[in-house]
Amino acid sequence: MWVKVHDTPDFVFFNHAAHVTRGVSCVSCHGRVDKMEVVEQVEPLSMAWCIDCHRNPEEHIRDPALVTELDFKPPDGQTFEEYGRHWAEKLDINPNISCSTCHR
Amino acid sequence: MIKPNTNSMQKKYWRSLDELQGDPQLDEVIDHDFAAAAPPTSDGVSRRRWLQLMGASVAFGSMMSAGCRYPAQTIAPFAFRPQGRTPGIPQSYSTMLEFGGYAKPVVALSYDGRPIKLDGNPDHPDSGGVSDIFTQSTILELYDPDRSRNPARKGDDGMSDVLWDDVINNFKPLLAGRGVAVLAEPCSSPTVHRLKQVMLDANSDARWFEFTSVSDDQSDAGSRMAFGDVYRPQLRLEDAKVIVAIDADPLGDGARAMRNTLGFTQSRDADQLMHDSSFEMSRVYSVESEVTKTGCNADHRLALRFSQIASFLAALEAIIDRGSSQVDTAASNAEQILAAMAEDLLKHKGAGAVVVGACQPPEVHARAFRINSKLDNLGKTVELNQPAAAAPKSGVEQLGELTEAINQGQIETLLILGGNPVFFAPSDLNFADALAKVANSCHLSLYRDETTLACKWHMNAAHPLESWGDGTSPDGSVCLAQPMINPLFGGKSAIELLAIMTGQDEYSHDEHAGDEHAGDEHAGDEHAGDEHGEHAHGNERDLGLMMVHETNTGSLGGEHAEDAWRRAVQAGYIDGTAAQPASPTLTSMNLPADDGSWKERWNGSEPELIFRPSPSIYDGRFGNNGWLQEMPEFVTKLTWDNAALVSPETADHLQLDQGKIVNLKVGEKAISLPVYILPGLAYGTICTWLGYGREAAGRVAGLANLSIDSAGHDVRPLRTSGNWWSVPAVTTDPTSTVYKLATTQDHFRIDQLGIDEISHRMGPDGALIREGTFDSYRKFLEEHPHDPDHSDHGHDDEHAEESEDSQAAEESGSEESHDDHGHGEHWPGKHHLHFKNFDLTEPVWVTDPVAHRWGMGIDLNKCTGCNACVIACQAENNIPVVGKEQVSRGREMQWMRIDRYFITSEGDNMAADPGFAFQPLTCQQCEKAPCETVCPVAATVHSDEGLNVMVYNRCIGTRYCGNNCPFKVRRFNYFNYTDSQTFLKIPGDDRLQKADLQLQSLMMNPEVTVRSRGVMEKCTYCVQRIQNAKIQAKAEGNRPLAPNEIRTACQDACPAQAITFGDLQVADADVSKDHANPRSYLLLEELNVIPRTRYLARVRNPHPDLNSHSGTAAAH
Repeated sequence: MWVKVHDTPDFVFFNHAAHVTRGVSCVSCHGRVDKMEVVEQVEPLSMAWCIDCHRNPEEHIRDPALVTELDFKPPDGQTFEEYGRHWAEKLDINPNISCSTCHR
Repeated sequence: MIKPNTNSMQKKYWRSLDELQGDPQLDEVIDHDFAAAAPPTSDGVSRRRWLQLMGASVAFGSMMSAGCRYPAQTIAPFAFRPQGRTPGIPQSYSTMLEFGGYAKPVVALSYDGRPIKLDGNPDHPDSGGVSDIFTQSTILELYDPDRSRNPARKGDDGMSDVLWDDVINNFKPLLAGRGVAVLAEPCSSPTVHRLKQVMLDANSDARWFEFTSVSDDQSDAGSRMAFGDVYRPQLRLEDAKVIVAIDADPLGDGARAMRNTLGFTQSRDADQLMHDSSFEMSRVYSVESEVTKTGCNADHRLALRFSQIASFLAALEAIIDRGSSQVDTAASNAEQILAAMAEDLLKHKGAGAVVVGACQPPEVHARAFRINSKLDNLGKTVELNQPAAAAPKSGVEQLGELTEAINQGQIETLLILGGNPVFFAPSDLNFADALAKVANSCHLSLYRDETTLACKWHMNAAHPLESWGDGTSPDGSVCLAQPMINPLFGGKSAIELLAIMTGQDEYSHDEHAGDEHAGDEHAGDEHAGDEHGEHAHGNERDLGLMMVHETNTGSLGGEHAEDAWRRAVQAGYIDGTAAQPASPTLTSMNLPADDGSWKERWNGSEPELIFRPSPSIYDGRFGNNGWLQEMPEFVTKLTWDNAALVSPETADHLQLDQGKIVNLKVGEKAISLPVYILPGLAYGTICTWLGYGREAAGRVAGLANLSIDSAGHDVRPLRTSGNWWSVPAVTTDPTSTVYKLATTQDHFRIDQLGIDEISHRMGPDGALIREGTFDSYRKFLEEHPHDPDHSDHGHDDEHAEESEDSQAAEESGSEESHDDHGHGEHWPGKHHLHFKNFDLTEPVWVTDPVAHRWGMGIDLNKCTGCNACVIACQAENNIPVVGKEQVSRGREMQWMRIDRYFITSEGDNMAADPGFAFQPLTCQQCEKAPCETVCPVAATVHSDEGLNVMVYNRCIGTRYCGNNCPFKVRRFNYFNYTDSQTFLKIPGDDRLQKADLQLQSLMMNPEVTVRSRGVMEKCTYCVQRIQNAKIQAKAEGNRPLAPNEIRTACQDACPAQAITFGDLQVADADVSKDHANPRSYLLLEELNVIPRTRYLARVRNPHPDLNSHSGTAAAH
């Protein structure tokens, strides 16, 4: 049996594929799970927190091939935002913020 | 009575006699939104009843409890993930259900091993991927907590549970012994037939009987008269130009209804004119004693009593023999319809179909075979197939023989495989008494029903979705069933039981006997049949597989048999097994000549009583299904009840009042039924439905030993071997006892004030239902050529196009304004922008580019009112059942409703012979939605893709939105239909345990929020399907969505394919074509709310020489 650590309410519908195939890394929501002895929740997983990222996703976008690299750092001294903007444009990232994106 | 068809004749659409007569009470009800003036809770008894219903129909545990954090949840991960399986990603499997003696090929959608939705199998050549209410609601049956969980044996104090071993060890030697009989339902399974033969070969003293309540027996007997053997007609309605239904309902009856509906709508698809200007729409006549879906959708409908039908058909044959026919406008209406029908049939030899209903006697069927043969229709529009196995005698005869044998002491052991013969049997046989005399009787069934209680032993059956099986679909092809889940209660299928009883299981049963614990919670993890039929020898679950495999290897053949088998299981049927149509020779028959009785008006003495399977719960076998019980029946809109249906004229004559109990008597036997006045029924006919008044069905339909009232009234006492489908004369004894019928026919309608305002703004044409004739549509299309494949869908362009059309229509209007139907200046769908008294502002379209603009089209010309969409929506969207009491308060929860309108013309005899129209209504997703502006908490808002979305977790339940919705499509949860606590608190009622609630929660669609008390809910165009399709497309390399990729649940189910859905920005999408169709119109367009759903006007095809207000006509 596993205990669910990252739990959203039943009226929230979250899809992993929609995020990891579009360049959002595990670390953005789950933190450095690779460094945790016991997994704990590091982000609030609140609606405001979700929407913050949906409004300004650049900081959390990277090459989808690298989403599992939890210790990833942008190359050439770029900030996450600068690096992510490039990939957001390339992947045509326009996160939806209407209610039905997560609530059905 | 035929009325002159003048321009002054205005069509009137109405919902009920109360509305027609302007009952002031009715308006009071709709003045209060949701009829909310009534107190929120009802009295103790009714409340209790409601709670019981809850428990059995929709209960599912709420996982949340108080506190700021959610309680810890545990997950059981796969230690080894099955190949191709991702948790949370649904999978579809082909399987089949047996219904009405045929296989229904279906596809089951399974989430993490639990099936949650069924739809038609689109790959099956005879299915078309569509479904019906029974397919859709089977999921609820699978998870019904009232299902029997153990084998049982009757003792002094009722049934007590035993082990499977006990019952098998007891019956196996008995079935090999003396005086053995098996009573089964007619069934199309090749495996059952094979095992039956094994059993009969092994025991010469064993006999096999088949009986059920609704069958093809009468047609089979007619076929024996006509051809000397049994052939069953398969209609090819898509090729028919004239369809004549003789007390028949090809659109509503049994397993063939879906296929027939597909063909029917295809033959009536007037838009084929756009491709082929010579296209002729089919013309449909219906002569019937009840009100059927076919009758409601016919161009001409004639109501005759059951006993008049035979002579009417004889008269038709006489005219066809004469070879020519002409309508005499001075003759009676019935004569005119007969003449027109004969004329059309003669004109379209080889493209007509005369269809007779299952209830009519064999002579009528035989005559129809002969007429079809004379008209050269056989093998063309009416194909004849030989069924795999047809019993030589009718079911009623066989049951009579069995009863006789029991009474003579010949039967010592009786095994009843499924069905519910005690409930279905003709009352004169006293079958239950006879059954009690059998020393060893055992019933294999899903529920411990009436028959179980009359038996000494009981075996709990596995559900069709839990077992391997096979069957033959109406086209003769062999379909295969694979289990979707391990048996929840460890039951066995008929195939497994027969295999065990005939010793086919020797090596597997002994090892696993008694190892049959219900797989309740873990059943979902072990997906039996996951990989299309692995042979895991020694596992008892595979006994069914072995049997089915063995039966069908013959037709798979060859060295690649195993591959072929796997492909067949995957497809759900064995390719190439469809039957070749037969062409038997007609024998000469002496059928009685027309005695003219069809012309006679009822003499007013004793009315005829006809029995029909309920359009909601069939013959009662679906009685414990809350979705079906609560589904408003298609024409009466009754829920939870049957009634004595009579026409207003008959009611008047017999002094019957709506909603009061009437006693119907034949000799000593009597039944009581509430009266429901249904315009359109034949004068002198009382129609009632079978299947109600059950006493051992379950918590939903009635359970006498727990003092749970039956839904509806039992009509069996009057149904005897001789009066199986009709009683020639009953005495009626009206009482003053008032009985509450819950009908939704007046719910959510627009009151007279509203109708007046619409007509003030829109002129006399501001109708909710719009329709016109095929001839006028052809004329319209000739004047306004329309290319369906190159329609422009930008909104401004669309409007420009419409304006042009309407201008042109206006120009030509002067000459057309004397058109037959009073809508001369334009085709009925097109008369928007003709507002007499005001201008619409230009719609404010979204100016920002949007990814999608979702829209829907509903073609009223295709919709038959069958309700499949309503139940599909209920299954898809986790919609609760509320019970009769709440329905009568206007609080039903179904997101979709189908409004049924009666149509009469002014000057017609009030309501004597109305036409019928159906209009499915669900949220219209208004661009300027009135509901959104009044929500104080922004719980209902507009998405950029044009959906009017509901945020349930924000809703505080003010109900302002529902009040402000002009279409009345919002529903409110008055009670917590989802909280386990609600009914666990009933004093002394601990029958529904927590495990049962969890069982029911398995049925829920995990993609849709389960709503709580005090929350508004409504259709969102299946937003979960939209989102998932978008996510999938993005994950697959950000590909664009295909034009018709997303399908809503109602669209999937619709057997008429009347619903289209998609992105209005995509010109290739079906919905864009529908929206550009000249027949399309908006409901309540004058409100300028700009709905995203457009309706397509109905096209009727009346005979040019017949006058009819709506394509239907009066009977006398």
